[in-house]
Amino acid sequence: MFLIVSILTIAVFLLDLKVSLGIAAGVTYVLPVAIAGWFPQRRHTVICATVCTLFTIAGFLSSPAGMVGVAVINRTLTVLCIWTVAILSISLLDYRKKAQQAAGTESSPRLMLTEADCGFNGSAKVLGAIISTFVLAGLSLQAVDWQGSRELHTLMESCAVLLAMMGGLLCLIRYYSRYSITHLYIGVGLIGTGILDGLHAVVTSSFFAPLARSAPESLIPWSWNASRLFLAFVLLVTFSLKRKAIVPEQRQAHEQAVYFGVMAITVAWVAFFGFVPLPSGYSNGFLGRPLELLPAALFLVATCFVVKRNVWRTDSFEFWVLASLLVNLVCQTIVMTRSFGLFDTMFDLAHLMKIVSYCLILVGVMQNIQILYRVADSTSRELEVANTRFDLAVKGASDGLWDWQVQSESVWYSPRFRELLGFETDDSANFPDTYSSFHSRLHPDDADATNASIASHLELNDLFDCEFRLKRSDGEYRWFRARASSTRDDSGHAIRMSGSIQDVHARKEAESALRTAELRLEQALDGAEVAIWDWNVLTGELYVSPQLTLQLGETGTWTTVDDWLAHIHPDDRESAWLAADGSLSGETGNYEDTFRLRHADGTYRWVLARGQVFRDESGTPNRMMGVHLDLTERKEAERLLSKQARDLLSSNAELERFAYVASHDLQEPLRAVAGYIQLLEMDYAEKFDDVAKTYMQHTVEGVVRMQTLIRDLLEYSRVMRKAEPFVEINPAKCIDDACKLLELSISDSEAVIEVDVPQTVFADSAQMTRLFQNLIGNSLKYRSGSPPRITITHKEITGAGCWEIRVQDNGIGIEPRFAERIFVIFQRLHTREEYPGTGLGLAVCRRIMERHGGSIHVDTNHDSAGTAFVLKLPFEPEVDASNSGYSADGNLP
Amino acid sequence: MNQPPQRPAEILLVEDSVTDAELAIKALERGKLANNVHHVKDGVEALDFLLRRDPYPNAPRPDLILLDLNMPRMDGREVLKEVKSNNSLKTIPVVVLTTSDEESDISRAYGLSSNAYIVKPVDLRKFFTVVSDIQNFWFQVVTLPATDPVEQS
Repeated sequence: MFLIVSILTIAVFLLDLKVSLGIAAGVTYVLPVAIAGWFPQRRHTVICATVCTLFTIAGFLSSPAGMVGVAVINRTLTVLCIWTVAILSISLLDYRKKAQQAAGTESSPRLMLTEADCGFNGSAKVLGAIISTFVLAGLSLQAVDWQGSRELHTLMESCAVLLAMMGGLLCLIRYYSRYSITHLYIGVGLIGTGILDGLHAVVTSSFFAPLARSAPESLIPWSWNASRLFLAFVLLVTFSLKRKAIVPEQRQAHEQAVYFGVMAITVAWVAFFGFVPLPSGYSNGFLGRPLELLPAALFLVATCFVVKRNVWRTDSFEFWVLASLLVNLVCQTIVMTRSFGLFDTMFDLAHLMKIVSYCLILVGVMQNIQILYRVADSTSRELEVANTRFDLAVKGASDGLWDWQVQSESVWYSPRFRELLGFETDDSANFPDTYSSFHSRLHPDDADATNASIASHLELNDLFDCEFRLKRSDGEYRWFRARASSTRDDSGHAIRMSGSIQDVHARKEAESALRTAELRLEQALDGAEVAIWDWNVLTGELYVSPQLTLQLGETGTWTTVDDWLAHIHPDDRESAWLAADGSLSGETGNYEDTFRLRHADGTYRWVLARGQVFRDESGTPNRMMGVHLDLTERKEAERLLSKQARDLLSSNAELERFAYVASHDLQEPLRAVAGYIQLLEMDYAEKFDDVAKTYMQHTVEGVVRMQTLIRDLLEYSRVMRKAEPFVEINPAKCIDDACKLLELSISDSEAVIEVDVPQTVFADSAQMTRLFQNLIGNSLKYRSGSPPRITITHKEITGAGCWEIRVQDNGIGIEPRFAERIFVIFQRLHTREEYPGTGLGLAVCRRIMERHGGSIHVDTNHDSAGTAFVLKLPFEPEVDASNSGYSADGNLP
Repeated sequence: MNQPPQRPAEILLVEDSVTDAELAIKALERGKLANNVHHVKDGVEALDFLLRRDPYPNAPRPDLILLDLNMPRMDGREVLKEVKSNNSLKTIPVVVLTTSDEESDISRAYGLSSNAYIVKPVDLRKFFTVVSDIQNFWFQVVTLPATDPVEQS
């Protein structure tokens, strides 16, 4: 490949010499350079381009004298084409390499190019090749004896003017398509230089000469120098100035200043060169034109600034500008200084190099614009992908999106936004893209807070995260949460505010329910006077609900477990701590303890504490929580109750003793009275008359009745004293026993007894027997003329939970007004003479029924004659505490 | 004992009530059998008498004890317990003669090996009859051990 290129290059050179300035013959050098551009190494291209440039210049020297103008254009174009092709090839090569690398290293290659990606990876070698080409050309052509003409000069300057104007315009185009202060300066600078070059061409032309006040020998070098100085100055300013962002509003003023400056310089130039007499530009020393060193110095400083900035390695435009600066530097130092007369070899070469330097900038800006297009293209592709992605995201998101142009009413709502509010996704008629669509649907209670939140966000740029209710299309309010961020301009004012809304109704409802539940618990705790505590075992921190301190009349709260310990009664402290510790260590299971806590008024309150221990995975307790119950009232009540029970017990025992004394000791004097009266009667009968004997008889009778009364009283008290526990018994059996005790009376009166009672009842068997004995006995005693007929029936009253037993007879009956009186002890409706007895039987019956938790009444509403007793006996009578304390015997000393 | 005893029957009457005691003594006097009634006022005296302690060093061994239950100092139940747990005394028949008809008293007295339990009737005639029956029963109907086993040995 290299061989082919070499052969081709030499062949083109030979052809060039042979054709001798054949039109466009020089352009054929582009062919080998283009082929060399396919080499993977860029140095081949550079070498090839350098060789071809030298051949081109050599070919120019061999051109016939008459064809100089054509030759200059030809060769200039050739050099330009060679380097353009070479640089573009290298650039393309770099770009291809980068693309391959990107494809090789990244799984998903980036879609978007940056300017740096497309920038020519500038290499000092390329610059070196260009410089050495021109240095070599300058040095080698010094000795050549060549004399150009005024026309050739005008031609070259015209060419330069065109190129400078073109480069400047392209720079400005670049500047206006994307802001860059470098391009503005260089663009304006190039146009200015072009104008100066044009003026230079004009003043040196033959038709201007008569007007000028100076000779061509002074006018041409000076005006050349002016243009060079201007360009050097502009480049120096461009790269030495500190770059600072110029706000768009100031840009126009800036541009105007630049344009005005250029125009001012132009006018000054015309005035200067038109009317000021100038000395000759040439000297006779080592340097023909020492004046040229002044712009050379400026070019050097500008070059130094560019190199120092070190942007040229990545930025293709600055690379080309640097190349142009170097060409200019060479031109001003070793080429133009060595010109010793107008239109000599070095003079023309310098002009050629000026053209090349403009070309280089032109190439730079063209490439720059091309890169800009490529970047824009890739950006638009990236944008397209991002847009597609965004559309998909918007469609798929459960959140509604919105984007508000803050300065206007206009808001973009995503389809989902409308959907969340119950509208069709594209219903912009009922839900237009305006701010008021949102605002008018805000719940009145939330409007103020939401407005404040938005205002705060726009003002302070803080986080926007706000919850509010919005009215749906069906009129129902739902909770939403909105989050947003805003885009701001350079002065910090919000331009756009965009974000999402999320339906948080369910969460809000749950929160509200939770709050209600908490409130309810709170109220329940308040009502129950229960306090909650929560002890972090690891840190000793303690939470207590307000009820606890309220119970203790305190204003502060407790924060550590020490607060708890400090309040415990000193006597209870140790046991309380042991109880808690036992639960923590797992020895005693769930925590339960009773202790006293100090109240603010100095008294102590009884507290029942119950709790549960929570453990981590390893079983270490980390938390214990539970409740406190104020037991003080209950404790007090318990104490009272137990005292009453004790009192009752002792009073029962006393009653028992009393009853015994009554039964025993009361009868002794009675017996003495009766006994001695009777003794008198027996032993001293003859000493008493009949009246006295009657008196004695009455005395004895009274004593006997008294004794009966005492016995009955004992009988009555026996119901409570001789109580047996309630067991399951068969009431029919009791009735049977009672009938046996009354056997004589029953057979005497020829009574008929019909029994229908429950199978079993819970009762004291002996007392039931007594009850039926008394009732049946009464029926027999208070019978009417006909034989007694006693019917015992029963009913089950489920609602009241008791049996109803009815004892009905056909006896004399009881007047309704005496229905209650008969149950009072010793109350009788008849005289002893009519019916014997003390009036105790029914009182005992009532007492027995009361002890069983039941009742006994006379049914006064029945139609039939006789008496009906109604007994109510609970299915499960409660055990009465009063007689469980002592048993039937062993209760006396 | 098939034939009536040669000597009068020795009866120990333990009774705190003077009137009751007198009535009892009257009743016993009216009985058909000759007897010596020794009246003591409470349990302590009764035991002193039975064990021949002061002031009864020469007290005879009673053939029958009529014992009231409720007495000061030491009541009938304790006397009964002492007598029935004493080997030399336990063969002496003890008749509880009391006012109480409490079931608990009755069962307890028999539990302490009382030989009989009799509730004193209020009516004097009935009382006389009862006392006469006691005498008749214990001195004529039943057969008692001949002598005191302790004295015999």
